[in-house]
This record gives sequence, structure tokens and C-alpha cells, in this order.
Amino acid sequence: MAQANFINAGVTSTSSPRPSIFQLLASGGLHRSICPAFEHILRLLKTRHHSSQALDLLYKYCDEFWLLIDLSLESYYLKTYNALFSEHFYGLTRSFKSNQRHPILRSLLFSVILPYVKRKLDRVFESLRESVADGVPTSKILEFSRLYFVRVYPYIHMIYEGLHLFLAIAYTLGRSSYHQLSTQLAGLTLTQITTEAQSQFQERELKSRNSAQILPKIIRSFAQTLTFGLETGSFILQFFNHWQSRTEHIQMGPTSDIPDPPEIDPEISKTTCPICHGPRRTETLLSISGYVFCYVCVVKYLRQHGKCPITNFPANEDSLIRLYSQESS
Amino acid sequence: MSTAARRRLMRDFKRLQEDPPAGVSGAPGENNIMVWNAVIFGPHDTPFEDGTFKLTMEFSEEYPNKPPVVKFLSKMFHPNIYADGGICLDILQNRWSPTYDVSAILTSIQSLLSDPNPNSPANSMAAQLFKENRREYEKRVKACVEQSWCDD
Ligand SMILES: [Zn+2]
Repeated sequence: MAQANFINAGVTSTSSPRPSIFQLLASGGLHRSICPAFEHILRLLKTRHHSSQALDLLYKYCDEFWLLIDLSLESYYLKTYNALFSEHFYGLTRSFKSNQRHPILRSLLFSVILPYVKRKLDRVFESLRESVADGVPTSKILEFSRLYFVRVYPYIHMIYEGLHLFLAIAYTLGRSSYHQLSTQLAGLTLTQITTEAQSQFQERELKSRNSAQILPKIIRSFAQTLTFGLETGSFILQFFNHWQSRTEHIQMGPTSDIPDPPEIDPEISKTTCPICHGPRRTETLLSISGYVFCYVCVVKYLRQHGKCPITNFPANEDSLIRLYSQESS
Repeated sequence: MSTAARRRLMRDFKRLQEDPPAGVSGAPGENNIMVWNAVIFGPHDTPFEDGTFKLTMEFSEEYPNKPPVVKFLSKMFHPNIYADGGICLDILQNRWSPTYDVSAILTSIQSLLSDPNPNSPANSMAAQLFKENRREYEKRVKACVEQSWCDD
């Protein structure tokens, strides 16, 4: 039913105006920034409540949780408005060629699952690159595939990003009807919402509101809550951006409370590592808490737990600083 | 074989010998440094006074990034100790930090004996008696203390 609607809307709106590249880029930018925002919020929460195990778990599988949320949100939007959340936000709608099947599934596959896979690969690459650089030992076959992946992946990434740029330029010049990879792959174009389509969306909104099934109802109310939050959030964010750029010279107060300084454990002497309790080798500072460890000890712990061994502040390998002092060699 | 965990356990042992904390002792097993035997003496001015309670500590190769599994071998009657000897102590579970060593673990367990936390009970009977009938609680603990002298 929803699919038939989707195709109809596509056919009727083929004559609607072609959106500008800036509108498309803005909507793409919003689409891409929601997941990092979600991750950032989780990280903030984790800083506040660093002994909560539920949050630890949520943060560890943050990509997967976001995938679930994103899938339910976008499928609701695709069914109701023929568009992703970010596209509807910028007044765009997706139109398919009428001979294409499963338009919603295709959209979800290329706009939600593909970016998830890319994000996961990016993370795998990041961790492998570091383990290659550290020379963490593994078996021969693993070692080979690890090296191979680390060498080849940057090219895949370059091609992926290059295609995006190429499509955006081609679209601007009017040579391509697709402006990005996900729409090209799904074989759909984005158009401005027409008044005709608008009324159709409202009808569909009403219909889904009156449906008696429980599960779609839950997803819908969840999607609506999220939508409301994101829409107000986006407006407030835009407003603040605007306001802050006008009043940049005025010093803003700190946006979050500065956490209490950690208690210094007298056991931790000036030369031993708090983890292995031996003399520190390759002294490394964890900048988030200010403690100094052996490089090997702290890296191993951070990879497993993602927090400072002493203060439990969330941390990763990026906040490590190698210390070069005259006393240590 | 020398691994990070084994080197660290050797250091823990050295520290335990050089700077022994009052009322606890421990040593690695004869042919396996990853399994320790320990004794905690019941703290003074508590019903556990004069008891000699035996424990085992099992370390994994991930120590000190992961806590050891610590269990009482002696029979215990305490709100936070399970019937099988397992211990409900935050620093041995979610509040573990790799900065702790064997001596810190043993002293924490010792202070758990004097300050039970009846709000997270592992032995509901002990927790209830501790809160409502302190005399009966002390009687049951005393029985454990006497038993701790006999078992070997
Ligand atoms: Zn160390």
C-alpha cells in the first residue's frame, strides 16, 4: 500500500522544480551530523555518570543503537513523506522511476545501512592502523590481511568521497540528476515538495494516526517524539548559531560544570606506573586526567575500557601524550 | 613464562612481603602464580574478631585490567558474602580499577567484614539479622569464627 503511494507520488511530481545544490548539501549535512550528535550526547552523559554500566554499554554499541533508531525514524518518514527526515526538513521529497520495486527498502539500504557500514569500516581501519603502528603481535594470516586492509582502505575511502564530489559537481552543472551516491544507487531524484504532494502527506499522516496496529503505532509515536525533538533542536541550534555569530565578542559562560578534581592516590609514586606498579616505561600522559603511565599499560586498558584507569573519565588513545623528560630515558 | 599479569603479581607479592598490611596475608600457590591463597584475620572490636578466614584469589592473564575472582573457603555469615563464598564488593566488580593490588583487595575485604552493606545483600538472612536482631547476628558470626579455627 505504502509502496504504491510512493510510486504514485513519484510519477505525479516529476514536473516539480529541481532543488538547488545548496539545499541538497544542507540536507545531506544534517543527515550526516545527527549520528555524531547522538554519540556526543552519549559521551557527555557518560562523563556525568561514569559508573553507569547501562551507559557504558550504550556508548560501546552506539553505532548499532543509532542504526535501530535511524531505521525506524527514516522508515516512518519514507512511508509518510517519501523523504528522509533531513530531506523533509529542507522541504524535499524523493521521486522514483515507476518501474522500480521496493523504493523504501532501497532508500533505507543506501541512505541508512550503507553509511553505517562505512562508519564501521572507518572505525575498524582506525583501530587496525594503530595496532599495526604499535606492532601488536597476531598470527601470520591475520598480520597479512591487517596490513593489506590498512594499505588498501585509504584508496577505497578516497574513491567513495571522490564520487560524492564528482556527483555534486555534475549535478550543479546539470549533467547528472543525482547529487550523491546514495540517491544514485537507489535510482531516485530529489524534488521540491509540491502543494499537491503536501496534501497527500497530510492524508497519509492522518491514516497512520488512525491505524489500530500496535507496533507501527509505537514506532510512529517514537518517530514523532524524535522528530519534534530534532526539529525544535535544529531550529534552536540554527538560531543559536546565528545569534552567537552576531555576538561573538561576548564571553559565554561555561556550558557544562567542570568536574571535581580527582583524588590523588598517595600510592601512586613519582616514578611507578599506576597499572603495572613497576617503573614507567615510555612515559605517557593521559591528558584528560593528568596521570602518567607506561605506554603499553595505558593503551591496553583504554582499548578495553575506554576510560581513565584512575578517574573513570571517558578517554581514548587520542588523548595520550608521550612525555619526553630529561630524567627518564 | 613472563607476561604482564605475572610480572605484576610478582610485584604485588613483593609489596605484600615488604609492607605487610595489618591482619591480612597472602601468597601465590606453589606451582601457579595465578592462583593465590590468602588469610584475613577478623578485625578487632567486631564479631569477626579472632577468626582466621581463608580465601582463594584466581587471576586471569588480563589482570590488572580485570579483577581477580575472590572467594572465601571458610564458611562465612555476612550480609555481602554468598553461601558459596563469593563476595559482593563493588571494587571486585563494576568499580574495579587497575590501580588496585592484592594488598588493596585484601584490606578492602577486611573492612567489608567490619562494615557490611545490608542494602545489597548476598545473604538475605544475614542482612535481615544485621538490621533487626544484632544479637542473633553476632551469635551466628561467632559460630563461623569458631569453625574457622578447625577447618584446614
Ligand atoms: Zn605500566
